[in-house]
Amino acid sequence: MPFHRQPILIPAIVIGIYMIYACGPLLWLVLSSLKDRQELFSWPPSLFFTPDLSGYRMVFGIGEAAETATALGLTDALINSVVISVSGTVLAVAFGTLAGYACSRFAFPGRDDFMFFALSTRMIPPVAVLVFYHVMFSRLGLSDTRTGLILVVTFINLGLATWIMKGFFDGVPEEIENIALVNGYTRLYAFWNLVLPMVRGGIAATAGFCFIFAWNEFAFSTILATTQAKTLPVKISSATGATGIEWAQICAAGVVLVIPVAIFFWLIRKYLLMGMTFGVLGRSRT
Amino acid sequence: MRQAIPAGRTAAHAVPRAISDRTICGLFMAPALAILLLMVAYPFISLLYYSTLNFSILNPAKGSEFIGLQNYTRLLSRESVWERFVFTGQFVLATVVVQFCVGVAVAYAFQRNFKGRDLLFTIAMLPMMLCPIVVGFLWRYMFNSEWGVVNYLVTLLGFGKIDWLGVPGNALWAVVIADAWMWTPFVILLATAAFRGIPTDINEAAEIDGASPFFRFTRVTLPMSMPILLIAFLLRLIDAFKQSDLFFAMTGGGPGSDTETVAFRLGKIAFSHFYTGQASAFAVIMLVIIIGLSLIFVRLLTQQGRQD
Amino acid sequence: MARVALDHLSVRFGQVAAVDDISIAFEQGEFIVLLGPSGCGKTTTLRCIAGLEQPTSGKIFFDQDEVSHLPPRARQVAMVFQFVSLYPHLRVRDNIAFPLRARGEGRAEIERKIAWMSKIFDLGDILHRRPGTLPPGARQKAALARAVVREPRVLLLDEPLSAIDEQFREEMRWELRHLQKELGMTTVHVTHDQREAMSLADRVVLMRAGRIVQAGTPRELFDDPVDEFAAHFIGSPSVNLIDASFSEDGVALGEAGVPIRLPERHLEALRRSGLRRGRIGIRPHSLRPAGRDDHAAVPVERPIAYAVGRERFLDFELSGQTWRGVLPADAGDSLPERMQLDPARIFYFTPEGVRLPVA
Repeated sequence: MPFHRQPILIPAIVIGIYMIYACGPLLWLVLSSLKDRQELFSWPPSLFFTPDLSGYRMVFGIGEAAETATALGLTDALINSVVISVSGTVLAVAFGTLAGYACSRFAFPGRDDFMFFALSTRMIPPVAVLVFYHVMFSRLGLSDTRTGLILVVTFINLGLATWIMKGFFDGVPEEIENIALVNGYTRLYAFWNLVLPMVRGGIAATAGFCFIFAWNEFAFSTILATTQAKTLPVKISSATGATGIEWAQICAAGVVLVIPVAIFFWLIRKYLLMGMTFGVLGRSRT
Repeated sequence: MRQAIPAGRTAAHAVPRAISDRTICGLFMAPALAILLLMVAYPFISLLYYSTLNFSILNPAKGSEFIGLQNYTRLLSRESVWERFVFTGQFVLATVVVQFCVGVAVAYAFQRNFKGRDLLFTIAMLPMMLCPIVVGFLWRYMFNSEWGVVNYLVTLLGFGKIDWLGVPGNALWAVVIADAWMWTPFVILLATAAFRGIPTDINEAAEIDGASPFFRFTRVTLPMSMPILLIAFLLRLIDAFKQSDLFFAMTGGGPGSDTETVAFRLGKIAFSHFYTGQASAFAVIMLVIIIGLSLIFVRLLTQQGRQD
Repeated sequence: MARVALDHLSVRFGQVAAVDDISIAFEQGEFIVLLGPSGCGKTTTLRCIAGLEQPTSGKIFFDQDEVSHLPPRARQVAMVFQFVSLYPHLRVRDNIAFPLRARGEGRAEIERKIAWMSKIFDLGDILHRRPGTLPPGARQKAALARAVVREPRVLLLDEPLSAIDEQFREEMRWELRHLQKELGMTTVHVTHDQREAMSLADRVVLMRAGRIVQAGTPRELFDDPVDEFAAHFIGSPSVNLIDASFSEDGVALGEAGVPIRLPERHLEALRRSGLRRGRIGIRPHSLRPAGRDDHAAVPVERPIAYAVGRERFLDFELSGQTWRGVLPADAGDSLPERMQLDPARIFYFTPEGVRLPVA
């Protein structure tokens, strides 16, 4: 006789319906990236067709497709994107880790204010401050440079990184450092050799989130990167030329763009869930 | 924990005098603080300053004239601006409510263990990882009234084709569907993390106490995960409030300017009309709203914490 | 309150049998303790009764009703867990009301029952506090109230006292025992602490590797263990054990072959068994200084005497092993040269550990 703790039916229906909503457009993204001009606009929309890779060719600027006026030829943008989002992620995670540790361990004056301030940076609408970043960057000589965008990407993730990392450090008992301190080691030694290895999962989770936001950052980059430092999302948005929107190319770019993020996410999936409690739940547990 | 705590050092290897905790705290905070202050303080001071000027960045030579609060009064007395706030409010309300109802329900369903759950979960997260601009174009493509797949499904159900993006009321819902598609995964992720944080014993105790799944959900699961759900709600609310990428890609603010959100309009004032002074005032208004909202939430959150 | 019967109950996790074909009945109002080392299947058995675990085969009955496959909430059982036993977001009174509200009981009825529990458990001061602010002892008390309030058919306790400090634990045991008798609740209590088991149970069910080793009153388990494991697991300080060889000439202990004179009746039984070797066990309290008669006595080497409270013990070496006996409280400082085993309380085991009857 089957054993039912709870009916599985309702959860299955909920997940089922949601997966259709989530996967339908994803499927359409992949299908459209493989369609040629005719298939793209066919009515009824076709589910089965001969795949055509010209969208992808245009993305990477390969072959004759590259000659098309609106072909992206994303190689430069790809390099920009990788450099900017990787550096930005590393910096945000590094600084967020340091600040998260300080906020977790030291009760310095204004700590709570800092935490709120750090979170509130995520609330700033890019358009509100863009003009002044523009001005500031041109004064600092950072206009349209990777360095400038790295700074921006670090900034938008720093608050979140600090919050998530603080949550992880809160989960590490302070005795760890105390024992080391009693044994004559410095706090820096304890931090680097004992505490950091214990929050590796947290660092991975934080990096995962920062990377998603860095990789997809559009609002700042589209204004601040005018030519040289253009990243992939910025470049893609310009695939709307006079000849109309290159749908296949945009979809292909979307597919190409999401792959590294998805792989990263899959690798760190079990840490992500831990990190997203921000250390808040720990308080209410008995 | 992998490393054992090493035994104490002998005096022979005495280290240089340890840096004090105070110094370490300062050193650790410094880079984050520096970047945040640099990136926030400069534009904020500028915002406040320029919001009192009649100034355009395109034409700095023309100079700037101090006009006090006129930028604010002009903006707030214009009906079209208020319409943007109303529209944004409708959008925020609709998309956040959809995301939360769907997200929390799906996260609760994902609490059940089954084969392939991790894979399914990761697939469910994918929309969030896509580039927002691609998401916008993808939905615009699917919502196309003539050859879009959405209308194909609509006709399959026996209805006529709908002009999704050309009619303001429809466009609102089209963007809500796209925004919820992209960001429900975020709610699922946070809600799942929150639900998993509830000790197994508690759930089992509730089952033994005779609680039905629904009773358990409303009396145990929800209240116990409230702190995180509040954070998620705040983040989603604010992100929805400043949403403009999707509108940019899907409707371009049209028809006319009927689907411009506050952030979209701000972008237009700042980068199409280049009324820098007025844009600054507009940005200040937006920030006041956002900071006000988040203060309310932080208050709620600390109240929650204090109950324990 | 119900009689609980397990009928050929088995729970398998993959290849491992956590519970292996158990059949036993707990009478109505009986205080049962499931005892055993960790991993013996006692908690799994309890969770099966609760409905939190699925039996792979076998049946569970509450009185005449088969409940084997009912979900927990249809079984009318109550359970107290080891650590997190209260809902942290609810005040104590709402915790107690929780199972009542879950079953849709009326407001007045709930108020009455909370008052009743508050009286029994003396919860007046903490009724309006949240669990997080309470010491572990008070928390478990409140958890017990929440379990009892719904008048379950069976009360299940999963090591509820192990997170409480020693002093308060004694008090809780005492209260638990009284309460159980007063309300006549069929209670199944899981623990790995044999002292707790002995002091609480009407009947102890000793388990090992998913099977029941022995079930009986604490006295029976102490005096009459079925095998070496049972003898060793129960009793503190624990039983003295040593290898022995049996021959026509008599019995020799340990590698050194220390000879010992045993009653003829025992030797007769050993001869009948045809065993050449086995093990001998004696509880410390049945090992006392020998008189002039050296019947069943062993020599004492390298003795150390010490006292725990008013009880005096003597540790000594026997064929390379440490044995423990007791000294009379009024004995002087001189240590005995020989210690005597109470013949009626000697346990004989086969090399496989099965108890050999000698009576």
